[in-house]
Amino acid sequence: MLKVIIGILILVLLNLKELITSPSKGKVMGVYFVIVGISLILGILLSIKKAPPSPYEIIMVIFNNMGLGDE
Amino acid sequence: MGDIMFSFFKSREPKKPKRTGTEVPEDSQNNSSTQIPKSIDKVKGLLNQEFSLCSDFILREVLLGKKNTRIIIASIEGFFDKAILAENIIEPIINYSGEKSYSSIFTLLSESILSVSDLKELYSFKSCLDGILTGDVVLFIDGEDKAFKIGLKSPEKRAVGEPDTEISIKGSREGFTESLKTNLILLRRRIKNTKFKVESLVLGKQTNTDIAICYIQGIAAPEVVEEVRNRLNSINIDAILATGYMEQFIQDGKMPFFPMVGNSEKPDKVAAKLLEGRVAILADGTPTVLTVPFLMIESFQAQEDYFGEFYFASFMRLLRLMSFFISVYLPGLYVAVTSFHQTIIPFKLMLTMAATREGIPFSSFIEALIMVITFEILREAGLRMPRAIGQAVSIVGAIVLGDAAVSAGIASAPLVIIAALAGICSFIVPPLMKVGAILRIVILIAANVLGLLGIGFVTYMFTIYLCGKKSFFVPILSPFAPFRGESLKDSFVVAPIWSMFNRPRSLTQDQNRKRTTGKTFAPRGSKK
Amino acid sequence: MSKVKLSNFQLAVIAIGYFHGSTTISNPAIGAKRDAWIAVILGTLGGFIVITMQLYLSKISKGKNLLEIIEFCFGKTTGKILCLIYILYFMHNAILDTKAFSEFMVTVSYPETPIIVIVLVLIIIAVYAARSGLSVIGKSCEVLVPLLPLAIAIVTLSLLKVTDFTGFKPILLEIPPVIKSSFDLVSSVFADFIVFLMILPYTNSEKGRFKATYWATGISGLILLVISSRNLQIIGPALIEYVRYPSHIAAQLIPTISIDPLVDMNLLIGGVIKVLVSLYAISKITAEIFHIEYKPLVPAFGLLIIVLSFWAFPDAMELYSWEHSMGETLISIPPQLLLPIILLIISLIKNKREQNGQKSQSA
Repeated sequence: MLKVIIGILILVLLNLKELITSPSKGKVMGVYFVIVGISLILGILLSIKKAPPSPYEIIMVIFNNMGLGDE
Repeated sequence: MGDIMFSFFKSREPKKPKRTGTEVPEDSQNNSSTQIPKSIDKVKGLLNQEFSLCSDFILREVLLGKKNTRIIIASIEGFFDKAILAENIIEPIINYSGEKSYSSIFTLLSESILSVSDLKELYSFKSCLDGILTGDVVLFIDGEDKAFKIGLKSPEKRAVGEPDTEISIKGSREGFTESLKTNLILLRRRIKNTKFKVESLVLGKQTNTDIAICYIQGIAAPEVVEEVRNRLNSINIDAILATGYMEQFIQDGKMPFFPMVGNSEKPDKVAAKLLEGRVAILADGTPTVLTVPFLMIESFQAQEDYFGEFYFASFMRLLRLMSFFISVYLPGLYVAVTSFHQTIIPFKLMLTMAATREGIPFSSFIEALIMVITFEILREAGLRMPRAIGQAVSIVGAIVLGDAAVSAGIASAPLVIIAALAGICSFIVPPLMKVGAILRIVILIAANVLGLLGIGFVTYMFTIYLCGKKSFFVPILSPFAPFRGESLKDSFVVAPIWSMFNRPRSLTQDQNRKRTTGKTFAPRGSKK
Repeated sequence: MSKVKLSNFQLAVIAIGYFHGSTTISNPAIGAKRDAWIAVILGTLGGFIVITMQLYLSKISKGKNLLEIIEFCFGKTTGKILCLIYILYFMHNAILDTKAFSEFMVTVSYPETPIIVIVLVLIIIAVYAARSGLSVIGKSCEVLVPLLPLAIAIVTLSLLKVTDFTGFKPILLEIPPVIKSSFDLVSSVFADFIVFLMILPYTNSEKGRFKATYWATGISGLILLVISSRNLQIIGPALIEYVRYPSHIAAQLIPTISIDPLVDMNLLIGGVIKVLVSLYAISKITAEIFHIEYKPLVPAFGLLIIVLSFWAFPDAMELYSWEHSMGETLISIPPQLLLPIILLIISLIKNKREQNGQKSQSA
């Protein structure tokens, strides 16, 4: 779990300069940190193995129930 | 297009505040420093003060005509032959018997007395000092606030000879020298065309080095010339001791990993590049001339390729390309294959390699790294050692380091071969030698980390990096990317010169790019 | 953002790389076994049709990229929400490609390397290239993509000795698998061209686009044909269903030397280009929705792709089962087919209305 956090921190640090000097700081930083935030949460969840089931599994289950079957 | 060029040049006349280079024609207005004092004693005093403790500064005072007007001749010895000064300047002044009538001493001197061919008027004291420092003779007249500058110099210079670094077998052996004027002559002799323009400027706050920009008006793209001028004029540095200093200021990108500017010591090569639309930059004191824009493919082109024999030349071109890749990739490939992908090696070779690697304490990566660095050490040492010890050191390098290392079990024989081959291949493409050395080590490390994928990673990143680089508005990977089919005639193969109809499209905006109409066959005899 | 334009040659080259990236991972034509070559030809034809439709959409939109087309048809706010579908879809493509590539590399060549390293290699290259802009993407593809057919040619020619050409018969024993395979081919390889609607407006000339894309499709189809037939002949129709990575096995079967890393490098180039283009499209769309530049977003999305790829497909088996299920095909139909058709119809109607409106104004 620590690795995930450190990795993401390094990424953010590398990009920080560009984020700060961009013309529309607010929006860029907003979108950027939302995305990084999602990744962070998912990454932590994954590393402690408490992740919710992957969406593809859910889709497969739905399709199975709908009778589309799989091969 | 000529008018545009001229108007660009004209607009430079009023000095812009930021510029640190000065341009000829000097002194057309009363810009910068002090006026020349009318009293000759004041002049003498100022000169002695400026040149105090300069033992090579000569001050000669003479009297002119019946009125015994005092004239001071100031110069720095060593720049010219003293006999010329005596014969052409001092003697006519002293012997003048004052017969003709004159409007001013000035016109008298310039029109009747001084029998020299290079005569200019100066209006500011600073330009007089500059003139003296450049090696000209400056004449001060009592009662006048103008001075004369006379050019007499025949400076010490190396004779025009073959450059050491670029050998040519079939072509001209001339190489540039350290004198700017000689170099310009070498170029002028090859391009006898009024469209061959030479713009001068002076750079370097302490050194005041003469710089010249050369291009062929109508072939070189005006934006490139303009950009060259801008970049040179914005150089703010104490000294320009070599063109390499300028190179770092004018190239695209702050710390590019790849040569962005071409270097050459041969006038025929530079002349050919000028005719393709490039701009050349010369500096007094350096025999190396810069050419921009610089494309990567130029590193692989040699002048000899165009002298006929295009099959062989194409073969050599391909060989050079291949050598570059060998030089950069081979050590990395070896490490990648032996560490990660042993299945590639044919069985028999694997047996011998395993046998040779027995007893070697290091991993193949460390081994390869040691060998590659050793080769670089040898190369650098070979460059700097005095000729006398040359033989001894090469024996040490070859036999001791190579052979004994193998016998001692520090390196394995295949690796010594690989390192040596990689090193020798790097000499085939001189401009890329330094890039190659660094890339070789980076790829070695990448190969150790991730095998072939690591090499692929570095290659891809480097390709993307190169694709983004432009040298003076021209992408350096032309003609491969962006793909210009026609320019491929001179890239990894060499087409005969009569088929290279047009000048490279990426370099010139000249609408009519034709440089030859192709091969015409002389009629063979008459038919009967 | 520069106003640099791509040349048509560069467009074609990027397209070839993109298509190739999808093919080497999972070749759906294998499902048709012996008749894989028929499936490939049919699939390529189907691809032509779908791509023509998408190209036509771009043409009548006169220089709008995908986001702008959607906004034009559905209005600004609904349009932006609809774009979410495409962002998710391209993200899905990128994740699939990343995971497939890394699984391949780990399984085949680097069993002891942690998979995150390989994922990082791919994503770092893709991020670096996407940030450098379209012209750099174009140029790097110009240089690297020609290596793909070269490598394939080398492998194929080396295998000629060991190939027997009898595997083609009997032809067309069963038809349904062939049809299904060709549909799979279209949906997994060619119909993904919809991504290029973000790039098409920035190419040089309008006329050349069709021609360039057709060339790219044709060449990709040809390459796929060669690969499938070769793999089929070498491995044999009976075994081919059970082989996970046919191209790799084929390369290993070359008589004297084994140059399977050559196939790996192919994969690297193709895989990178696919992730690269998807990443670029995602970042551009998001950036235009919020009116910001896209460059800072690229590493963020790269990170997201990495994390999502681990979340979505925790191991190779998940990936395999997803690929071979109906899910993949079904999920791609809306963005590839339905939505473009709807957009096409709406654009045509709106354009007609504008034309009529202008006529009545000038009258």
